[in-house]
Amino acid sequence: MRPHMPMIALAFMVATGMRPAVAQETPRARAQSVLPADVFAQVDVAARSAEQDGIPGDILFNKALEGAAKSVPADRLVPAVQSYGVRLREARTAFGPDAGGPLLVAGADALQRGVGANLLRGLGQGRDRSPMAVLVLADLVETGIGDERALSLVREAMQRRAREQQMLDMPAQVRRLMRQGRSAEDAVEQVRRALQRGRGGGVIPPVAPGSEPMTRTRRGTGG
Amino acid sequence: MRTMTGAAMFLLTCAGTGDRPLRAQTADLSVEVGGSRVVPPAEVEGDAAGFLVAGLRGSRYTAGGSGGHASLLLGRALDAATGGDFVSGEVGGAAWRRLGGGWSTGLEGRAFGFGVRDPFAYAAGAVEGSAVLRYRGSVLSGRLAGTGGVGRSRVTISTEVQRMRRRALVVEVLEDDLWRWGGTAELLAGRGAVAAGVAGGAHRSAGGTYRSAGLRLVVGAGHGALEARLDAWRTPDGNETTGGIAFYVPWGGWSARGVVGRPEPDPLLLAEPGRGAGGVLLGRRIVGRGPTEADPSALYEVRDDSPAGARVRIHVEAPPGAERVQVLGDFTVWEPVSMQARGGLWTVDLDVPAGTHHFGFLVDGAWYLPDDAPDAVPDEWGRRSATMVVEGEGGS
Repeated sequence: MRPHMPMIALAFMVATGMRPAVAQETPRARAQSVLPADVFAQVDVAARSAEQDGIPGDILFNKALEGAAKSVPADRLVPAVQSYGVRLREARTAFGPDAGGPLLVAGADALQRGVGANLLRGLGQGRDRSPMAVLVLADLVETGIGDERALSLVREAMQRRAREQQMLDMPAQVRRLMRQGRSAEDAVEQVRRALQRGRGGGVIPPVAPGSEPMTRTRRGTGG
Repeated sequence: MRTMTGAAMFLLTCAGTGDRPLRAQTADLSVEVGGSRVVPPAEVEGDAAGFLVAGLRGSRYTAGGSGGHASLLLGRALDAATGGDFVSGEVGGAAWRRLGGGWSTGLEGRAFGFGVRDPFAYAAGAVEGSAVLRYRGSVLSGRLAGTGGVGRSRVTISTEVQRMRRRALVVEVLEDDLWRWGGTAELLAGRGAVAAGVAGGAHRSAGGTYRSAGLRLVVGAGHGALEARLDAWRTPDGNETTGGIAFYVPWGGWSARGVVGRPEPDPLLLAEPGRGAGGVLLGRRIVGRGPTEADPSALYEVRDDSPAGARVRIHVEAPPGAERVQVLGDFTVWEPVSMQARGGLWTVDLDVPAGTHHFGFLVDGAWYLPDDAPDAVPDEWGRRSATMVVEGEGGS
């Protein structure tokens, strides 16, 4: 019976469309198999150095793999990994030594998108400085919302325990209102009021009569 | 009475329409007006009854599908000889908990009531609840529910009789305890806008044992939906075939929902199918916001989460003529994973660990990210990658 179990599991996964995203390989192992040996060696040095500074080395291996996947020439991979390492260290300085890898990646991205290190520090400690908050903050700043206004909106959303989708919707809502002619200030205020009323995430479409749920969710395309 | 219970069931079904939020927050209140028509069962003498209907419906649900709803409908009979004015109401709710891997478990419940005075006074009220196990995959979705409910109905029949030389009014009151317990199961398969499958159930009730098996077809477009049902029933009164179409169409602050077909018997209220029923309610939202269109540029949606990560549907509209589209990112260790074409959209479902991930697409082998991709971050080589944040343990 036991030898058949993997086949049963595979058949179930195929039938249900399940697919694990995480390959068995670690980023380091895959980098070793994908990158030229000399490039891998230099990335490995950068990763070990980062680890000594409290930054997970896998983040840098992933950056090198990203470049390889984009067909970037090998000689441009190492400088990119090194400059990424610099931004990760900046993010760590802003967030403090307790920051984990996901937060550091979000912070490095925010710095790349024009968010200042001071603004990242402004997110404070605890739940306020989640990767989602950093991502939304960067998106709002990139949209043209002033730093302090953007920071204030994100902090309010986090304090109100806004859900993930609500958070992600905020920049889109601000952009939509701005496209409709509202100023950035008005748009942020309207989104803030919606948050305060507890309905920042929009509403679900009602469904047709019947004893069972339907719509896209029932068909397996919703949550 | 059968006509009345048939009318009650149709109207209660309509009243409950639209109260199953499952994805995003809702907090709205709508006014509804419309009409309905109910034809009594074949063995019951009587004409079809028509009603004008008006009422209120409100709901408040969280993004996870937990919350509550309430509705109140008043009906005006078009012909006093075939039906009477009525009032019906429902209060219900649900609480869901995600188990991960597409599975969820939840509790659903509702209390409802119906009352009419003419041509005889009839009132019914009941509460029922279900414990539900649900699975949603990219192809298959299913639902297993155990249901129980109790209620009470009361019929008051007044008859004038000749006694001696005087006319007298004889009032007869019939009260019934209503109850049921049982279960239902449903399995659907489909991709994109259409899903089809089978459903069945069995219930013990005050009236006997009810069993059903049938087919389902669900079609969705935008925020609207249509469902077709066909069921074979084995009831204490014999075998029945029921079926029909239900729909919901929203536009702006307006909505229309309705049903037409042969209604199902109800094991709790002991309503019989009748020969047919139909109706439409036109709604106008007076408080709250309408369905918010999803950001059309979004590249992923979290479909289910777990402490370690989330099940994520990734989708992208590739340039015309694309023959092969793959997604790759931190969560695949930058190994390309093939996507499936669904119309113009390419999709794949992946289990993604908690974290902040960069990702993008290969279209026929070349790096691709839509120009309007949200949360795109410039890379070190003059291109851009999309960003995905999956919250969970170790995610900060």
